[in-house]
Amino acid sequence: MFKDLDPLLHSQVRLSIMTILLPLKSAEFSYLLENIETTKGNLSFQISKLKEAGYIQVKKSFRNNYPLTTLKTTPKGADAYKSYIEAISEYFKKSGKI
Amino acid sequence: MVCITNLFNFTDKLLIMKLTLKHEELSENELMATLKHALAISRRPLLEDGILFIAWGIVFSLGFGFKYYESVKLTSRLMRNTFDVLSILSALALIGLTIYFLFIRNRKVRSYEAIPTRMVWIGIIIAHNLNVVVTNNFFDQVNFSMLHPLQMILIGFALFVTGGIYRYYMLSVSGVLMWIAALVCARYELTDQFLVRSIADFVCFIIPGILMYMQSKKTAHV
Repeated sequence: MFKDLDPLLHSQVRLSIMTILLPLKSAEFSYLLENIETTKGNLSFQISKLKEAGYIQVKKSFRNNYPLTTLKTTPKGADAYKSYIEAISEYFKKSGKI
Repeated sequence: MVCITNLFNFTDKLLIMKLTLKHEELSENELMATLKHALAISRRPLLEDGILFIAWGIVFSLGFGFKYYESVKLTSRLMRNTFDVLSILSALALIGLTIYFLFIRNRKVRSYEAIPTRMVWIGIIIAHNLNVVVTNNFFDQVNFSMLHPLQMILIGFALFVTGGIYRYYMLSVSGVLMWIAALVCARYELTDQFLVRSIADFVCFIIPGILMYMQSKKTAHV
């Protein structure tokens, strides 16, 4: 029996956000937008979903009078990501993909 | 009429939900590709440090290369003075570039690896200078032909550890090459040590630096 996959992480954009943020201390919104192929609106929407779940922390500030959004993962997000990767690895191992 | 409009709205909503769900589904291949690309993106800012390896490598390599040239060829006083002024200016420019790159420029990403790496390199610079002081205390003079191999061992150590921290194993290989160069250096006189060190700096700093920087500039989107 396979473990259930976290539906919040099982989405390309949200998984990308978490995978990029996890090894980093923090990243700006513009960095994610440069590297994830999606629209600004969709990225904001997916970020708000992750924020609501407590997986990431969003800090809003200003730099040179321009708004600056900085993101970082929370311990809860890191745990959820770890569980997700464990579940997916188990699936891949059993199906002989890795 | 209202009933029909409501029905249309309902089917529209269903269609949107279905499309959204379909968009959010991830196939095995998509999942693997997403993870692979996203991990590469999170590593990219670290690889930008390649520019520092290139800059330090150029200054070291040219500096020791000229010292070798100066030792084996007869050079004019003007040439030596010009080189001394250039050395000081390039050292200042290098320190300025490093400070700007690490502390002043606006970085979109902050990594956990930056702090241990900085500590390793600051430690190595301090150890470099302490080596000079300690050997001076022991022998009442600075023996540069002994110091060169020791300093290269320290630089090799820093490269090796940095490669481990960045998970960029070419830097660790550079560290091993620097250790080999240090052993080679120990067998030669000071004049030839300059040449060995110049080549070692080129191989261990500039080449991996260029490769790191090129990798950081590769465009990969998730």
